[in-house]
Amino acid sequence: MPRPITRRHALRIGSSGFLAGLSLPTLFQLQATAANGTEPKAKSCIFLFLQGGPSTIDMWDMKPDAAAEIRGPYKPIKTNVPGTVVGEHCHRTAKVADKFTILRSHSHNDNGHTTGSHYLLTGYRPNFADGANSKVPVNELYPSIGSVVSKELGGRGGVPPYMNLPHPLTAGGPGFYGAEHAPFVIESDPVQPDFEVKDLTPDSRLSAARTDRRQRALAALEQGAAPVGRAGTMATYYDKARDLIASPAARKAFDLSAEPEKTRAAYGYSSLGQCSLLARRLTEAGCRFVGVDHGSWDTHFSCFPSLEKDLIPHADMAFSALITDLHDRGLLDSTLVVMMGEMGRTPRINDRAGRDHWSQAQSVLFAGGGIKPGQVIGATDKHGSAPVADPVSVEDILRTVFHLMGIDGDKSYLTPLGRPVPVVNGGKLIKGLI
Amino acid sequence: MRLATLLLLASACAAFAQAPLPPGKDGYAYPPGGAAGTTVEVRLGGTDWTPDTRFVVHDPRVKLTVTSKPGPVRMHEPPYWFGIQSYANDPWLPREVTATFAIPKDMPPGPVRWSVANANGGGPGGVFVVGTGPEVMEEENRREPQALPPLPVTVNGRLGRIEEVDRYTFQIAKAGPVTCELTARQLGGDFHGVIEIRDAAGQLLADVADTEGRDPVLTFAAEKDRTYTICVRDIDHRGYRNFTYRLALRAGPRVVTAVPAAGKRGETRAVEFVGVGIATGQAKLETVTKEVAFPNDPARDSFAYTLETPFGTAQPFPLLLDDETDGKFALPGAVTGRIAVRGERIRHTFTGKKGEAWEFAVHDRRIGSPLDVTLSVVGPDGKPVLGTDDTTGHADVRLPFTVPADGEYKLALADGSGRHPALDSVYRLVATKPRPDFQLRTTGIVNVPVGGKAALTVTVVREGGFQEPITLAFTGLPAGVTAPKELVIPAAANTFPVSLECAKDAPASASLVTITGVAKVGQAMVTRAVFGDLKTDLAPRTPDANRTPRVLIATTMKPPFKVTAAEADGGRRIPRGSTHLTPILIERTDGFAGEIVLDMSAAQQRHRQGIRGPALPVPSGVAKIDYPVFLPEWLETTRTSRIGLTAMAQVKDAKGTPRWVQAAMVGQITMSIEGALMKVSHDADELTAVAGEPFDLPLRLARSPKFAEAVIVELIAPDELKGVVTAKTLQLPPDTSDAALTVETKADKRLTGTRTLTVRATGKRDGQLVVSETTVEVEFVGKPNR
Repeated sequence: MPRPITRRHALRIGSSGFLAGLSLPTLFQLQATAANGTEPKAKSCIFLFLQGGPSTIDMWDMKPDAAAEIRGPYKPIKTNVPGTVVGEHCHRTAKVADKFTILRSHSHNDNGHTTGSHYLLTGYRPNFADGANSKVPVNELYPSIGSVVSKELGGRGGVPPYMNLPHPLTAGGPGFYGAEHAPFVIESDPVQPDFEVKDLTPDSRLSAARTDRRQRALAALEQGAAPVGRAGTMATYYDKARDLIASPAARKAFDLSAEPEKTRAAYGYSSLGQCSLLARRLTEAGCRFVGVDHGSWDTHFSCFPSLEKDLIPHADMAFSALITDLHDRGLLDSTLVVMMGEMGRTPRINDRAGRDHWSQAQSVLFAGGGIKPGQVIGATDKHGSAPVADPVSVEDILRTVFHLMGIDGDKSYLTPLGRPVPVVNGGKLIKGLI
Repeated sequence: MRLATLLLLASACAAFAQAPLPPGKDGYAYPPGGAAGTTVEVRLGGTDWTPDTRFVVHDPRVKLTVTSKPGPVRMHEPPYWFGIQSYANDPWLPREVTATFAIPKDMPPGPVRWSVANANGGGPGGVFVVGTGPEVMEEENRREPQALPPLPVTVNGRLGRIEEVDRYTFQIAKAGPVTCELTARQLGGDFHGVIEIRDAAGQLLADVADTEGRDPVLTFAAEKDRTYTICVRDIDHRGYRNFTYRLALRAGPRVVTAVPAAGKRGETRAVEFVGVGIATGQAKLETVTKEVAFPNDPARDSFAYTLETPFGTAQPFPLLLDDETDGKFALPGAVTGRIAVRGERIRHTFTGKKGEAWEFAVHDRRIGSPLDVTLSVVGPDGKPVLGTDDTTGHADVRLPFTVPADGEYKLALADGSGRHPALDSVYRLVATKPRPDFQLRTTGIVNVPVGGKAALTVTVVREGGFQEPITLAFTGLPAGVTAPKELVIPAAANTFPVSLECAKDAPASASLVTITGVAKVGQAMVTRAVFGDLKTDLAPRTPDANRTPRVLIATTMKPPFKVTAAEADGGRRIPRGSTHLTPILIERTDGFAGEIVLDMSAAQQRHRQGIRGPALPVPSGVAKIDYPVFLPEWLETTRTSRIGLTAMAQVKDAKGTPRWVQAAMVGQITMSIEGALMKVSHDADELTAVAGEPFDLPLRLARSPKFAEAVIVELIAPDELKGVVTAKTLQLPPDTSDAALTVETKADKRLTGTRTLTVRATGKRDGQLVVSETTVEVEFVGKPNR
């Protein structure tokens, strides 16, 4: 008995133009265009996740007139956009401020790391207390932003549609969308001199014929009953892995050594820098959503040495190089770049020279993908503690990202128990960004 | 400048008086025991020991001689935990000394407690067990199971690293039950042992896991002349230097409990013994009834009965001695019974008269039963009046009760262990008229600052309506320490603080102090010792297992310095395989100007995974120094790693004696790990070599652009192959990435089979180590010449 064509099979067939030359991703894109009324510009999104909560008051929302314990030790510097200033350690980004927009009025009220990450990356509040869920990913029900993109847009090349670098995002899982929309995770740090993605190269001891025989044997085993439950999940992962190993495009995309030394150096030899460069290569190869996990931003104590020596320079180099590189390659319009954390930090420096969790105010950087660059949207009060007006919520950010990528945020899917879950739980487009 | 101001502000806010750091917990002896009449060479381990740490043994019959200074802080040996396990395991980093225990011939078997003290305070130390029969030492670092001599034998072993499984083989001359008992938690090692018995083919025959924290014991039916392998491991596959154990193996069945579990002094009566293999020799619970003569000895509350069976002699089993006849329950009286059905609630009825006082006790663990009994008193109206579960620190129950009104009461017993009832689900309920008496307790260690005071709080347990005042007396206080002359615990008081005072000119010293309380009980003056609580036994069989009749009192010196991590808890990002130099601020106070030594503290957050730093002397006059922390290349890049330091310096005490004082560094060095600066690797999946002939090992060295330095490549052979496998070190210039290491081998009988060799590449950046390693499996073929 012939096996029914699964959606994933159809995707593969579709990518070869089997369906009257109209691939499924193209179909999805047309559907999305119809939903928005305009053709979306962002074909991909690179999401630089500054895990732990970046101190944006020391970077993008300076308060030079506030008291020393609030303004901190850093001076504001001018950018190439008249009237816009950033922190002194963001001098590279300052030179390309005309290519991105700072949103200073993002605000929510979840001060937890795992709960805040869950909220930000899924748009839904978690059903666990912060720290009470040590699983990765923590989002067992609600799909992450990357999984939504994967489901709605599918792949557009030989690489997976959704990837996490170098580790899984805390709340980057597929939720009830299932393993098919889980991120591909490289579990290797691209800054490592011998960086390679494990097992991407076919085993030289296995000939093509032998590999084929093994696949046919597996198919024969599965013929009796399609695997379900965990076995089904694993079968999905096997399929994904097999597709990836067979993909020369994937191998090429992961080959960071193909980049000129000058380019690699511009991104910075840091985990964030090299992950950002790899993200550019992956989106070039067709990846729809790359989530870069960059930790250590939870700077409760003695924050300034690590901010000025490690964290801010790494982020400054990576972000500025990424948008410059994308711009120079003509890819910035079609690639949306977002840089943010799950929360901001307290405006007042604590008694151990650090800043604590503060979700009431955070600055977010947007670049490319059809946004209007060179702006500052929103403002916080004199202490940087809250937006002065029109706070931008998590839902607003997600709705805007999906809109830019041509995804209908109002679309709903039923959970296995039959409950409809909209792609975005409310929210509105960020005023002035598009 | 503004940053410096902020840091100063933060530093000032965080400032607090530097407290001395006393020796910590997790003390151990290895081997953990020895036979009476022998002198046993041991390594004692513990945490935060200074070079002048003193060692005291609580039992004067045993002589403890320490023969070395404390060694360096010991890192746990690989392999290491990763992922969630590395968050859940944070073993302490010990120091060790060599020592001997001289045990007299007439020393009864049991634990002997030892403690430590230095100028920073006292520490609990650990226990050393005196045994009776033949003993052997585990041969560490062996590759094959260790063959044991004929049973009975006790093995002194250790699970020294994670994933370690200790295997021993043995045979018995006569078929029958063999009993294997692991003593581990009772030695203070916080692990849950697993025992497995396998046959010569590796088939699992029997196993037991310590899921309750009581140390496992196993009896199985063995056949004559067959070879058995007994395997010992931790239930979570952990292993550290303090995971010492004693594994006792003997041919014979095992008594678990008895009904009744007690007899009246001087009576002879039938006792039903419950045990494994005592009736048929098979590995099952069964019973045997014997006539037992209970000795009429008022000085003892138990005696050891040895059950002889056709299948061997069981271990001596302690039967309780009592003044109450064990039979049908009455007041006063006692009964030994069983909970036969899961969830069953046993009720014993008694008639109470208002104002009558009774003391009820239930023994379970004490009589070998696996039950964990709860006891409650149910009133005439069917409602619970009073109830209890465990006595403090023990599963046995004690419940004083004064009858509130005339009527029929019930004592309700239920099992909280969750077990399915079996023959050994036995309890013993005792009801006695409370006799006026008292017990006195305090902490096992008290530290008194030189020139200062410390409170020692005595807790009074008043029994049977005893309300009299109690007069306390101290004997053997350290030099310069005084207690108030009049020390009387007022009538009816349940706690009493004693303020100990240390003179300003007192030396830093310590001693085991006897504290007694004298009170009038009835018409007699009764003296009771004040017992100190020292939790070194993690599987106490009796409520007093962690009590010591002598309290360790130490005088302490204030460290005249403060050490702070300049970037305390600041979270720097560091490449793995490299050395992180972190600035440490040193502030000397009180006129002190000498050298200070920084070192890793014993208590570290999370599993080390090999993160380490040296003992770093800070010369006199230096107020800021970079402490090098080495981060191995295998560290997880997903986790934040931290390291804490201690600072130690030699300061003269009031008598002019140089003493080592130490304090913990303020703040931790916090590091987030990312990709390495270099990586050495090879493509040799499987290498074959002939012993006695050289072979080439091709290598590749990948460097980050941030690390353009020359590198030394060397071969690291395992300890047992030192000198047998060698290679000249290579020097790779900065522009060289490929090389081959020529490995020389000797035709040596040790060089057979597959062996793992390590290749290490070492470079320096800013004078600090950058290290990468790889391992290669080499199969040695061919016949060695000798």
